Amino acid sequence: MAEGKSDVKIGVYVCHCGSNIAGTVDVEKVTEFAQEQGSVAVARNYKFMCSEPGQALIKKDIEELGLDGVVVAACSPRMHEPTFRRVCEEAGLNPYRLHMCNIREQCSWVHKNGATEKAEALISAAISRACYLEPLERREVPVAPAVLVVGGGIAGIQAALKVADAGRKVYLVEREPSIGGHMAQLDKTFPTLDCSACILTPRMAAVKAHPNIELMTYSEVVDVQGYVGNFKATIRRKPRYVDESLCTGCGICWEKCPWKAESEFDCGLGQRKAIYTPFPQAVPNVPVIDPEHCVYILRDGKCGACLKFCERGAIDFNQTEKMVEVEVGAIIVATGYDVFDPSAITRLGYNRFPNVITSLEFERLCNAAGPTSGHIVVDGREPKSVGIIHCVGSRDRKYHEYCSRVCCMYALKFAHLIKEKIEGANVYQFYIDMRCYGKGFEEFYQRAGTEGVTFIRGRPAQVTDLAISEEEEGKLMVVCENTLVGAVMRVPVDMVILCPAMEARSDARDVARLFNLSQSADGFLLERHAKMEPVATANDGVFVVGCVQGPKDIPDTVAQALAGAAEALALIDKGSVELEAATAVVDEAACSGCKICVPLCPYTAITFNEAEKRALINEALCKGCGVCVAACPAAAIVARHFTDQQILAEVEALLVDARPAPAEV
Amino acid sequence: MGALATTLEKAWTPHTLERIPSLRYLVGNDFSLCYQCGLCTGSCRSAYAMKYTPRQVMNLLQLGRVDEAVASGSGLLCTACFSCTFRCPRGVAITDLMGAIQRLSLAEKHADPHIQRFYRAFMRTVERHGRFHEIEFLVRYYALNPLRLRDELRVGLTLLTKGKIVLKAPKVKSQKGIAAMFRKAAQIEGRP
Amino acid sequence: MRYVYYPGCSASGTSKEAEESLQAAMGALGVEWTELEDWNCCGAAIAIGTSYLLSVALPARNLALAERAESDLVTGCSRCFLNLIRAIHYTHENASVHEKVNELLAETGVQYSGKARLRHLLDVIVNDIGLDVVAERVTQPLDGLRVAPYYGCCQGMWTYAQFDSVEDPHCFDQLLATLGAQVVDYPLKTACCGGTLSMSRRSVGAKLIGDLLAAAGDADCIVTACPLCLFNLNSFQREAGRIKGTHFNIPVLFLTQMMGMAFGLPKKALGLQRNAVPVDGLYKKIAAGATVSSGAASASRPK
Repeated sequence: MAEGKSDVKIGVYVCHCGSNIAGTVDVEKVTEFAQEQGSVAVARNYKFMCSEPGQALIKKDIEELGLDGVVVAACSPRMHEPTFRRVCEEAGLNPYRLHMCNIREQCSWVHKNGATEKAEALISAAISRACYLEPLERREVPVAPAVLVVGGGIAGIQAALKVADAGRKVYLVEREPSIGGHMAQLDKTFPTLDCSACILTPRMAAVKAHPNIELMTYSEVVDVQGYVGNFKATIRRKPRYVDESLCTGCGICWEKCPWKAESEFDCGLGQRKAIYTPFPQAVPNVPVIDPEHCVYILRDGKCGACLKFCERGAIDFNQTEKMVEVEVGAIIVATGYDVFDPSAITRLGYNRFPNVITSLEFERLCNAAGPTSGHIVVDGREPKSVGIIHCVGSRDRKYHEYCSRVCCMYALKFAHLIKEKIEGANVYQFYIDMRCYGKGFEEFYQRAGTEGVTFIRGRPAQVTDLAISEEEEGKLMVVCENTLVGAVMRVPVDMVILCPAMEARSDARDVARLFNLSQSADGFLLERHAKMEPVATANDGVFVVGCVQGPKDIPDTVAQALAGAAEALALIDKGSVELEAATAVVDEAACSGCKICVPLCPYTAITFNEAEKRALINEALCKGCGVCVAACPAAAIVARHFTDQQILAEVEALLVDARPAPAEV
Repeated sequence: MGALATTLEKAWTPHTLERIPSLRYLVGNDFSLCYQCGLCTGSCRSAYAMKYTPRQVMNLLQLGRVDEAVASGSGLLCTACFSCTFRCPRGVAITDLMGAIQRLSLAEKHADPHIQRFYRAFMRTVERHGRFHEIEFLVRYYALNPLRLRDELRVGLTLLTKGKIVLKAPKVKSQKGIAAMFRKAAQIEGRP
Repeated sequence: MRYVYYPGCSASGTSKEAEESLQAAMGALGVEWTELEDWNCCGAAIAIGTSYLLSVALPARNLALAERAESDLVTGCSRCFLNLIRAIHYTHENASVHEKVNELLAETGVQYSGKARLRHLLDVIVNDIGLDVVAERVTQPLDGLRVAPYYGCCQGMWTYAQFDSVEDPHCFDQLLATLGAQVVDYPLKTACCGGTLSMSRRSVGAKLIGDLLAAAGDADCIVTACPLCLFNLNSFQREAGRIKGTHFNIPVLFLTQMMGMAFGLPKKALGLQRNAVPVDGLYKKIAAGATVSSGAASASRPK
């Protein structure tokens, strides 16, 4: 029996959680046990403590009995701590006098026998701790009323537009010379077969025209300081060597430029000039000069054609990179994805055969503004038969275990486009499963069947040009087991399109570090909760939207972008943000200035005041993890809400009756 | 090993472990993880001659239908080149599972007698000499079926004339110990 | 340099020329090549059909012997290499397997600790000895000879050993190029020859061999890295031809035979008289190639 403190009145509330707890723990017995403990004024149990009637029970007791502290024995505090804290607040009790005791995840869900005894021990400890809890005040800090959107693909564009429409200032930063992202490279989109540029470019133009959006292209975020509501971001603006204020986008400079380079936008299938816009509908329609291919830059003033021909005098080789600092209240990270490089899977012949291409390369071939003006031509020939191989690098533990979600659908789209453009073409789909889960997707799949697309269920083992019969001469053979028939097939085709995995950007790790985010096991950036918080992250005020968070198609990307905008606006519109009070604080008198704590903080919340020779913790950044508390040799750092006294009281209560160990677990 | 035990408990039939005791030694995932993509079969050079392809064998095992896999003789066509195991996207130890089926096919006499004799003759020479001994192998293999000798005559004569059939038996010092290994293995694996 | 070498049953029997040429070629490179004492058969692809434990313990015994001799172990037979590396890998990954293997090995008075290091002949030649040393030893560059490098299957070995790419290895191509040969693009370079199927299922084995021979196209010869492949590709050309509806007569050599030819070593030392398909035609081609190229025989530099 815990002794508790005589002058304190604790209320204990045991939740049944339906049968989640009550099915294993004898809640009546436990409630009686709690009632007998020192300092306990009242002990109750109820079916669902978190429900309104449950909450009302607690409120009533606080008001009528004048409780000093509340113990709720229920699920994990990660579920409902905020709920019960609010209940206490509404009843006039400081929310930090609440302690949640986990008798579900850590008790009823993991033990068959002995759960009741364990619950009693846990509650006894909780009551002891609750006796020593102190009221704490949350600080409110103002929120800077601006949002930084990192990444100018459809996700970033959509999020920026929505925030700007709400009347808030947006800084949209994009690494490439133009916004648009991968969506700008696509031809038609599934399942509606909307032309990608037709639905994207109006939004791009809207970004340009919006008075609330400050667009910075050819720029990168290089540093982020601060905390939720008060971020300071440093943006490096790379020199375009073209003055944006003077340039009209007339195009004479890139017409006259004699120097060519491989076009990144065309996946290397076409060329661009040394001074270029990546595609004709670029926003801003201002070119950049590529210092690695511009002869004026490489050879000290040789050439200069663009200088000569620009009527506005907009070419400026004296430009240097500029650093810009912005202050924002929220950050939306929308940096997108990379396409898996199928060279790693040599048996599919991506690097060997010019007529084995990736899906993105095919989009460029199909696109009317692409390197072949929309004609499907590879290696000089128009293919009469095409094999489309699914799951290249996806669903494979040697590369990426996950499914990339969009490939089955775009493969069907390709089949349609090929049939439309090439009379009498044969299209073969080499699939394992057909994933057509979205709105209109299954119908699109059916349509492919009516258009005469051949589906072969089997993961190809090889793409080879070694002919074993006359009809195979000059073709590529896709070798696979047709699993539905149960025999190995060789399918001769003129062209193979690989559906490579959508993967996290190669610099995802750096981006994560920059914004203090985590990556999930698959490399994408981690959301706060897989179901309930899809765009928030562990770093308050920073949101991840679009494919940076995981593979998804355009509708889902737009939905997430809007969700991110809503989150950012909710934060900003509130005007202020409450900081969690359970942070660490330095007892300045006790601090010896040894600086051991400073580099240990994973949130870089500790700075050293050189003048005073004392460590200082930024309450807004501190997450209360306790590393500094443990490390301080002078015990000069106190973890609020987790003081030594509170923790030791818990431990002592746990051990006070050395109960015999439960028989079985 | 712990992870494997859990997977086996969830296998379609506990009977499978009884039939294939070497499952407990498997390195890699067992057939439960196979999602039937067919990459193994597409990579297999002898699959074309199999009644049940490697993928189908994995499916039969998932269903606990070990006998059908064994009777099919597919395991006997496996050359243990490991292409399937290397490429399998789920990390299934296909080659070793095919090996297990191969052992059952031979032990339960589902193979042609001459194939049984081939395996037995080879292993006997290794057991008796520690290394493969061509002459003794040929005698054992063809002794009971001289008709097959006709098929091998050309190859055999070529080997002989080029001095590649070693008449002397290999001398391995630890031959007795090696023979003891054979007996011990049979004892542990419950073979006669 | 000194190496302890595991010959394997093929190399010393039905593919004796592999062993002979290996000793000759290594000798020419100044490498001491000692046979592992008391070695036993690795089980080939046969032990797996009888006993799982023997299929791991038989090769493991040789590893245990290498440990006792306190030496790395090199083998020039791909099948042996695969069995050995499988033994290393399986005993390492599964404690039960390791335990049972040692139980068996106790019968011969050795134990396998798991520390033995295994090397493949190609790895040793390319990475230890080095292609520049090989180049220096070349006195008769194989100019004019079109060769198809056949690595053999045993993909598992490349995975575990990781000294070259599994699906698209290049070390053998580089070696042959160093010898001066023109290496053809051989699409089936890592495809299985069928192993013992040539004996136990002639129709299937011969078909696989036929595919391999046909894929060599107009190459002058095929060079293999495995004595068992050597035996298969050499011995069943007639049967393979029957199945493919054609006639095969392509010389198949072991890699050290080709090396020995480029080193100018005597034919008998390389066991060239033992190859089923005669190789004299190759010598003629090399001689013709040498006169075509600029006069003095020059050692090829590795690319």
